Amino acid sequence: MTSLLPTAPLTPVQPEAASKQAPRPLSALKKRERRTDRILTYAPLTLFLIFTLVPFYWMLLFAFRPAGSTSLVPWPITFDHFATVWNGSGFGIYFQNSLFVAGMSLLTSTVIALLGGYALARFRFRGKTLFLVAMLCTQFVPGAMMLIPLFEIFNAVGLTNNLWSLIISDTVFHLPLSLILMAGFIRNVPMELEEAAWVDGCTRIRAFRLVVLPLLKPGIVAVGSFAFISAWNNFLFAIMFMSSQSRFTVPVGLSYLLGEFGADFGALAAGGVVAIVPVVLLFAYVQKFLVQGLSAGAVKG
Amino acid sequence: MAVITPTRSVRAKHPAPSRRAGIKSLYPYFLIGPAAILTLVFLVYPVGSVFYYSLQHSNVTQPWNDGFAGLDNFIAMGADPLFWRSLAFTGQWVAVEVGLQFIFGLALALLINKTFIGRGIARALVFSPWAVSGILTTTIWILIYNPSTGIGRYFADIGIGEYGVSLLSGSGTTFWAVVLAEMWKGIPFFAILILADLQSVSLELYESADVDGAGTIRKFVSITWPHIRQAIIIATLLRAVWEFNNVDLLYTLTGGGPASSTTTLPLYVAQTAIHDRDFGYGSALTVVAFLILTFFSLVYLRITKSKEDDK
Amino acid sequence: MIFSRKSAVALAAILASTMALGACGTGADAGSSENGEVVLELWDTDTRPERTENLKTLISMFEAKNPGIKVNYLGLPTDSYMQKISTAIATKATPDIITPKASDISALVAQGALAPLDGDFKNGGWEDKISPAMTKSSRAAAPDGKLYLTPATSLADVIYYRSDLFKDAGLSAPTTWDDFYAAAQKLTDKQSGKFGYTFRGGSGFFSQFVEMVYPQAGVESVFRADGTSTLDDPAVVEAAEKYAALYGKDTAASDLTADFKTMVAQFGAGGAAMLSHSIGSYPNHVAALGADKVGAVVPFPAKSGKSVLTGRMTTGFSMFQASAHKEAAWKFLQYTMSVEGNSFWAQKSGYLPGNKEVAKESWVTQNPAMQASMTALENKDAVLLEQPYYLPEFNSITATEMLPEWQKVLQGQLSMKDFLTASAAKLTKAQQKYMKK
Repeated sequence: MTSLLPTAPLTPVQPEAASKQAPRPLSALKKRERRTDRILTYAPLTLFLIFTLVPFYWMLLFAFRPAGSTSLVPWPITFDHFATVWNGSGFGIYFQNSLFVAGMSLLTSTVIALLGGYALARFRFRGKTLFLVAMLCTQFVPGAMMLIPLFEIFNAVGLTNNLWSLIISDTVFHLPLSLILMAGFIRNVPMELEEAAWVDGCTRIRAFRLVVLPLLKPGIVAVGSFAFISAWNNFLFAIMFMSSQSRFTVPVGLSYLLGEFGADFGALAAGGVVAIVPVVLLFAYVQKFLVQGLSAGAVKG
Repeated sequence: MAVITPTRSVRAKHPAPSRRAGIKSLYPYFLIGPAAILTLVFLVYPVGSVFYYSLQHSNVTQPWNDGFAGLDNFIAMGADPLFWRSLAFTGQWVAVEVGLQFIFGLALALLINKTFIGRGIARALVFSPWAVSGILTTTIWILIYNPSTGIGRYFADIGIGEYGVSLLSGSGTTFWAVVLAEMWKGIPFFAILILADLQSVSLELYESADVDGAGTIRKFVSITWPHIRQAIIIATLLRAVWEFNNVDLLYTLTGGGPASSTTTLPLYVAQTAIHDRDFGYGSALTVVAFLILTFFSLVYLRITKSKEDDK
Repeated sequence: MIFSRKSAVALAAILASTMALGACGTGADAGSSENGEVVLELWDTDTRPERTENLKTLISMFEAKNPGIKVNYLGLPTDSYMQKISTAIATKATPDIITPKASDISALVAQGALAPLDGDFKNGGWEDKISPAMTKSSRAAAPDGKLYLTPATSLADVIYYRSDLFKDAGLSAPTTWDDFYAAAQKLTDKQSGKFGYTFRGGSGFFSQFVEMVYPQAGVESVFRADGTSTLDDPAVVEAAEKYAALYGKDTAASDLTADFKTMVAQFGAGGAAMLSHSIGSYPNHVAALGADKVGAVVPFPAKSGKSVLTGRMTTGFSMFQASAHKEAAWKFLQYTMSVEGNSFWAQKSGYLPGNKEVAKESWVTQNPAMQASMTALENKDAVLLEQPYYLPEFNSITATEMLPEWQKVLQGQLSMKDFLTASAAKLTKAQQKYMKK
């Protein structure tokens, strides 16, 4: 593919760009084009939003609505369910543990993915295909079938009942996706930029840090978010590898609220709201990095 | 199309000469080292043990039967109608899910990439289903589809549909009901990935195409698609493997029913190995799934191999 | 750099603090003694917020009476606890005490995980203090007939009904099967989405099936003396056909895949007027509807007059064979059967108490579900139906194999007779194999 200059994100109609050039007289035809274009954007988007939000609204409804009510609006509002969840289930501790596990998994996943992804993207080396295939193959066996051997391994290295066993397993199971995605993003950064930096006398590492890394923002955000969320939501390993109440994570806490004899949907929904809030906030913050305008100027002709 | 290419410097194939030749050639190995070591230590043994158990009789509730089974489990599998049925359904499930998730994910990414008011909020919102954990997703959709607590009764109130009918238990509608629920979660995955990838497409290319009079479709096909193609290919494969193996939603929404009509192979494994505790047979099923996935992955990668691959 | 200085520092601070917290407990909380104290690990398999509170209170009551013994509580989610326990057994990381259901005992004993309690039970004089029926039921859950589960409390099957809806329709509480079917029909109004009954077509269907069919048929055991299953007994088939005819007519069509959660949601939302379940869920229904709206009756006697009582599954505590503190653990197990502990525990859980003294206490008849269950026992012709939990294949036959076939019956693709005949054959095979040993 041709070499690409990093520029601002794609927009079919760019008011900003247009304003930088000499203002063109817009004919009536162009105006109509603009409008249909806008309808074509907003209509499907609205549909997507409805599809996405209705389930969330349903959860909010159950979380804030008194038990047994069937109104479509959570009025009168009640916070009882939240009290049940927070007090009855010790969510505070679960939250902390989840934050720790997901945060560390994010770090380890991203770092390892950066290292390995760079190797995959920039080098040709023997065993590369084998490595890729092996990575891929590890995804083919569901975690539930490997519980006992994994438990034995963690036992052998003295990590029983330790949150680090979760961090490691979350990272390891997420690695193939992180690696391959990161490799893809790195590949999108033109080699020429690095080479230009080498010409200027940088070492490979320095060139990477100064030139490639800033351009990888969307990639790192994407990979990091996936890793964080995957670790945050992991239930199986959390319940199987921990044996103290104080080491459990949020998904385990949520699972207490559902069972053969208990189906307190209100409490479960409230727990769900509590569990989702940090991740949605994370998303709200990082999503702008996903489409951030990449500063031009990293390359000189 | 006018294209700008920086002049290539003949010298700059390698970084400043501060590395000895020996280390230079080992560089990539150091880089993949952490990943390789972690995988080796934590996954090879467990995966190997699954293969080992597939050759054993191992039922926790009937330990007197345990012992080497040879290929017994696999032979039993061939005669097991539920095995073949679940296999067929798995193919259907994965193809439909991944296909739909990809199409809608792509559409969403392209839409979201445009500039419009409230873009930031819209983005945060449509991506958020991805953040919801498995147990919550299933709970929400159980509530939605349940005739008492769900949307159905409100529709019936205004005359659409009947009371007491759930999409999850109707013949013909069960499959699509679960597909929809899973899509809700899976579309953001593709959307996020593709969106991130779209960011490195040069705006100048589109502008040049505009100047040349190219329409939207033409622009997509010749500029956008070749660029995001690589990432999509891999992401689709990984997503397909994930959909194959992940049974949370199916398990909770339908339990594989009604009448085993929505049982995938991994769900069958879960029922066998975990619920019935026949670990030997369950492992054998897993091995077969493993081999199938390996085969299809290799075929898929071969087919989608682009001419310009590694640099 | 990617992150601004500030956010990087903030991030590092947050992670460092949580890391400190996380690394804090790197050592496993082993049951080793500190200050000569014995620490027991207790795993609970039925975690619901209220019950967990009660169990923790019971524990602190015990600890107050037994200084020097401490009990650590660990709650396991109801849907996946068995997997965790199996993993623990395989990796030799089991706790001291556990709260199993009778249906779990067979699998646990097969793995050699539980400690038999017969000796201690006898020596403590418990044979006389505990209801013999409950002790017998507890022994029946194990393949070798030994006592692994303390007969502390038991469940019982009841039919819950909406007392307010019944009153509005001019119906009194049902006392016969005819009453039941008539009420189900009368209270069904398809146009407005209200049904007389909520049918369990999905996961766990077998217990509801047994609860509603066997008493109707008047058949008192699941196996005959020769080991053949009574599922294809003509009386059972007839009762089952009548029962299944409810589906789609007086129940929602969506009940085809209904499991407990779905049924409870329906009952709580007013979509169904009657629900078959065990007394254990009474608190849930009260929480959802209010005590004035929930009534309970026991499945009625058959036309022959025979009263078959189902679902009297023992729930108690068990000790792990690998426990290093068996004496201390047994002290706890005894406490749950003693008057003080048993009274508290049974009352708070809403289960029938095993201790004979406790069964006489006044609170036992306050809860309508429990009252109905206890009263039914006074009938001299009443027989307790035991499900064959001791069979290793019981779980896989009744849950995994029978469920899809059951759903076919409901969908009209399979006749009830064929279904029951085929299932009976499977159970017969398992039972006769067991009897040979």
